[in-house]
Amino acid sequence: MTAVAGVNTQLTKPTARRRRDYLPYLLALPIIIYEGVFILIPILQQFFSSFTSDVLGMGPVRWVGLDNYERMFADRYFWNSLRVTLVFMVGTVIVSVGAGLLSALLLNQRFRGRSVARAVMTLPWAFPDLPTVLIFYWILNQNFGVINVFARFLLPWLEQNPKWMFDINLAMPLVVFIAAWKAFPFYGLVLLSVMQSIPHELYEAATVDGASRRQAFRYVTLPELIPTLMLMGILACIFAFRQFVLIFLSTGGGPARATETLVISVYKTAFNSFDFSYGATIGVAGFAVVFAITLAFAFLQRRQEAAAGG
Amino acid sequence: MSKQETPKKSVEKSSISRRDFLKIGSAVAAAGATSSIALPKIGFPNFIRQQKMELDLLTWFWTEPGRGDAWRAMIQKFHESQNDIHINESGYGENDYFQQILIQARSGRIDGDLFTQTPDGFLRLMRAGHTISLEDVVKNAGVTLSKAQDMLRKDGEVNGLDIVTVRFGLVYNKAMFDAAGVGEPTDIDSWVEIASTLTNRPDQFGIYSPHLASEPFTVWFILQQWAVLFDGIWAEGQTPLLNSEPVINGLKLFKTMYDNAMPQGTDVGTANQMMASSRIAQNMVVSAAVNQWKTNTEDPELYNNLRSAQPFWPGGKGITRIHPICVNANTEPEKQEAAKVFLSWLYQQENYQELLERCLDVIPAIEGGIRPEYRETLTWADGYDATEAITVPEVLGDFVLFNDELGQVVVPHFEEILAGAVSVEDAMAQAQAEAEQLAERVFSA
Repeated sequence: MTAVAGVNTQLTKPTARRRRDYLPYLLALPIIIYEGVFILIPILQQFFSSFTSDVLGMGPVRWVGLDNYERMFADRYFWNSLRVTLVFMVGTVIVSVGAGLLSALLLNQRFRGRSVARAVMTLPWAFPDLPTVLIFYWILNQNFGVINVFARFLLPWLEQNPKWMFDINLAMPLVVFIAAWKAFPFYGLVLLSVMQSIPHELYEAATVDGASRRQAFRYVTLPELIPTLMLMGILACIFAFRQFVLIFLSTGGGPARATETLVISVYKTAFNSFDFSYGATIGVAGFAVVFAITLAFAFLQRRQEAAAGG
Repeated sequence: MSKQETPKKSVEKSSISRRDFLKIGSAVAAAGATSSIALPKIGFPNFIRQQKMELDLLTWFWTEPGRGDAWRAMIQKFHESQNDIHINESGYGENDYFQQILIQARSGRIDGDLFTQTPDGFLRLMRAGHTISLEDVVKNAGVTLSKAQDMLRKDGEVNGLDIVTVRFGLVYNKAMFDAAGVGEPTDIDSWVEIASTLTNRPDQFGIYSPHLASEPFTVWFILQQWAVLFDGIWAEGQTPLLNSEPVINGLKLFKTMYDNAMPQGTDVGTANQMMASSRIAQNMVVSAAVNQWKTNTEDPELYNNLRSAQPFWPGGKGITRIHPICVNANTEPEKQEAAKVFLSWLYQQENYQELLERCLDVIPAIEGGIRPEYRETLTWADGYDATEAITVPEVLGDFVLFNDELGQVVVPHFEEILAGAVSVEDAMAQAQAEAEQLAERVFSA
């Protein structure tokens, strides 16, 4: 009765209703202003910068039109960074989501000390980036790293310790490993929570139908996980694309640009070479890549929804 | 009864209507905004303010072992000598310093009232108008500047005062040399042999020089000297010389040392500690670096065992870098005056000598800046003194204004060389092409 009365009051007072209609906008205003000032304006400024030439301390900023884009498309290091970014992204997504799925399957089983195991699994994710890099830096040090003991044991024919993160061929797999080690608990925990929400009746029905454990996974667990896995995949792509700290602190993009992703390239161009305009141009290219990934995800999601609806 | 009333009261107290909340919020915001408008910074003279003038001194010295303490001691002495000016520490580590300053300059204003600079960075900032004339400081201090400080002049007036001159040389641990039965190298070949003899991985290494991609500025800073070891330079005027014979020979020598005698993959901090514990025998470093091995070393005898080799390389030159201290052109005029008072005090011969000695420096910036009695105590400095000076503009040509940009071209190719991915000649041919493109871009601006 009170609620109905409340509704009637609103209907009979148009000015009060109008005032209340503004309230959501007013409440959203701070975040809109924040996003505008700290995100939208810098993005627009970056777009603008990509059409200029700015050599710091050497005269005014000049408008150069599409020159920076022309330079970028002819720049083999840009294409190298793009390739490295894609390799890092794909590698990190496969390893981190794969490891997350495996750990979720493992932790979904009943065993003694399961809650402790779950807590331990989250540790890498909870670790800050800097100590993580320092730990791996020392483990993988060519002269003093503990990994050399295992390498010498497993590969006795080695004449000297591998260069690990300073080896052009090993640097990328190792950086992928570090990034995946840090990220997999997040994916594991999300997938575990989805697994635990799958109705037990489905597994019982599958058992009654004579399904093996592998078949139960293939026909019951996996279909239930696919929407989440897709979301995890896209998130992992974006997280991997944005990864800066782990790569920069561990290899600095080296050796010989072997781990120089687009983000690292933007940083080095802008803040080491002080070529802000060209750095902005590479940044715009990076923005386009993330935008394309997001669009692809939206497309896949819509298609899946349509298939489910049909 | 009372039990029922209590929660009611608290509810009444804490309930604020949405309108009240917005009112309070907007009142607080308005008060904050108006306070910043109503109370602009007014530069009252000291005698009215009755408080000390606070100056921020922006430098990487604070983080440098030995030098940081020396500066703190001098500033303490300055504070005790007067009551009007107080100097505050400000700055970043050496590897980030120039980058941070340039980014600040890009945003319009450098943070410090006083700041120190590298020679190349100084030229760039002076050109961009971030420094002021310090002629009156020189006049007040009554000193004669060294000839090297001519490069710090703009329209004939000195805009920065050299506060530390450093020169490259080869520092070695004599005890390790004696234990291995080797003497100072006499030429490049004997140097390579000695370095290899002194290496016993992973316990002991013959030499260290920075080489990590994650320390690009330090790598480039020291790599420049490796070409000078073959009497080479990296650029002449606006023409890069990255594939010239001396540069290629310098990089080949580095690669040989890297393969035979260096602790590969070791960062500068760790290497300095290894030198301090007598696990690295030699280091191609600037004279200023020796200070860090004077105290707190694992080997208490290390400092007494340090020597610098007589120049044995062709030409016998060492890059000599002057590091000026400047007054920020964009700080308040009264702070500029106070900064000049401090510099006039610091540049008085007696104070300058004390600073030089506390810093363990060897090359004075002013006539009579070093006491002979002090110089005699520096057993490690003979090689540095015997090395012929070559300045940064002589080594980098017009690229002195774009030192870091050139380094960004060289360092990735240098890494390719160390990784054995390409030959030195191929890597530097590619680097030369990129440096020519850089020249076209930056010099046209």
